Amino acid sequence: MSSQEACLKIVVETVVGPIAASGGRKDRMREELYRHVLDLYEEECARGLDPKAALEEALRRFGEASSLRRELQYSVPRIERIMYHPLPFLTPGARAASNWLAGKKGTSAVNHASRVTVNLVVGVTGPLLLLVLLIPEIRDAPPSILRHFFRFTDSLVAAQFVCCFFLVLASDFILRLTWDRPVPISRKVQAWAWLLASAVLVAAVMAIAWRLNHGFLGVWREASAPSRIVNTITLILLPIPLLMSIYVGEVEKERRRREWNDLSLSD
Amino acid sequence: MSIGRETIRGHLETVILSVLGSRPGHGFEILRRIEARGNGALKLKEGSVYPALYRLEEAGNIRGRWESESVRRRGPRRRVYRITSEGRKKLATERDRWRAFVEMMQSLLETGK
Repeated sequence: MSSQEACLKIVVETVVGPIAASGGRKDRMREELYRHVLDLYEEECARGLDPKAALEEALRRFGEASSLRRELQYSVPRIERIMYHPLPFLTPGARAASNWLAGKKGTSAVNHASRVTVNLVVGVTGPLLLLVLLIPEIRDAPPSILRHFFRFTDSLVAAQFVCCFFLVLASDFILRLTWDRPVPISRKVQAWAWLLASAVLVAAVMAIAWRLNHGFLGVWREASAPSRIVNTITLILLPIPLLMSIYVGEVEKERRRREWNDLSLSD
Repeated sequence: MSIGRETIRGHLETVILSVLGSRPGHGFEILRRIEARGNGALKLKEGSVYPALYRLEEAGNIRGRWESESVRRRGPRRRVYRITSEGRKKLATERDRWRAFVEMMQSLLETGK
């Protein structure tokens, strides 16, 4: 890539980067605007201008970045604008999380899935164990209740481990299939593929848990009140692997976009 | 006489629909056709066509599709837009509205009446 083309990419990213919109919409804007400004530059070069002058003229004709960004922002549907509007207090945390969760260049999908899964299981099991220690009704409960609780938690943690690992792997796999193709698979197909993979995995894990543990509901019914509270909390935590794999998928897409730009833009 | 973007603001979507009404096109081509039809009097910032295209697409007046593999050049793709049936209806309505506006202005601005 020439330095002029790199400069054009930076200008496009300056326009599109801060826009509050979904990743897919921004990708489309990036590609269209970059194509347009590249066509302008090639048109100016064809008129006989030297590369530097052609670049300046192309950027002048393209328009001011801030006003174009404002107009593009207004073209985003209102609900999407609100959903993707960055919250200032979350942004530093989100950046840290994205650096932590994103795949590393050159590492395999299995490596990525393993890393996310271990972090998730530790992150969920740790607070659960803390809960056991903090709630007196649980801590002081008879051993039979505790056995119920740990049996349930063990299978839940195992379910989360399996779910998360395979969902992140599926998310990575779908991303690799769709991102690198010359003709990308449509986003609808991507979303359905991901949903199908999730549904199959969750159903398989629930079936295994049912066999091992007489079902989540069975344990919940048998357990006494204190462990029922904790069981309910852990059931609520079950969607975490699904949400985590969605978030990891988005983070991974963002990392690949930055690779596409070949830029190290500071946030 | 040069006409700036402030004058055309609010009418750009109608102009784009009119251009696409004859045949599909991508953003760069749409702007060239607008300039040709306006005999060079209309001066627009090149990037300003895209917000209008996205609004029209959200409203269902046009539909965009990435160019096919067979015509693909090096580098990023072009997105080709074509007008939809809703877009044609909107264009017809806007044309009627504009004709009525022009007749009214002509009547108001005529001297000696």
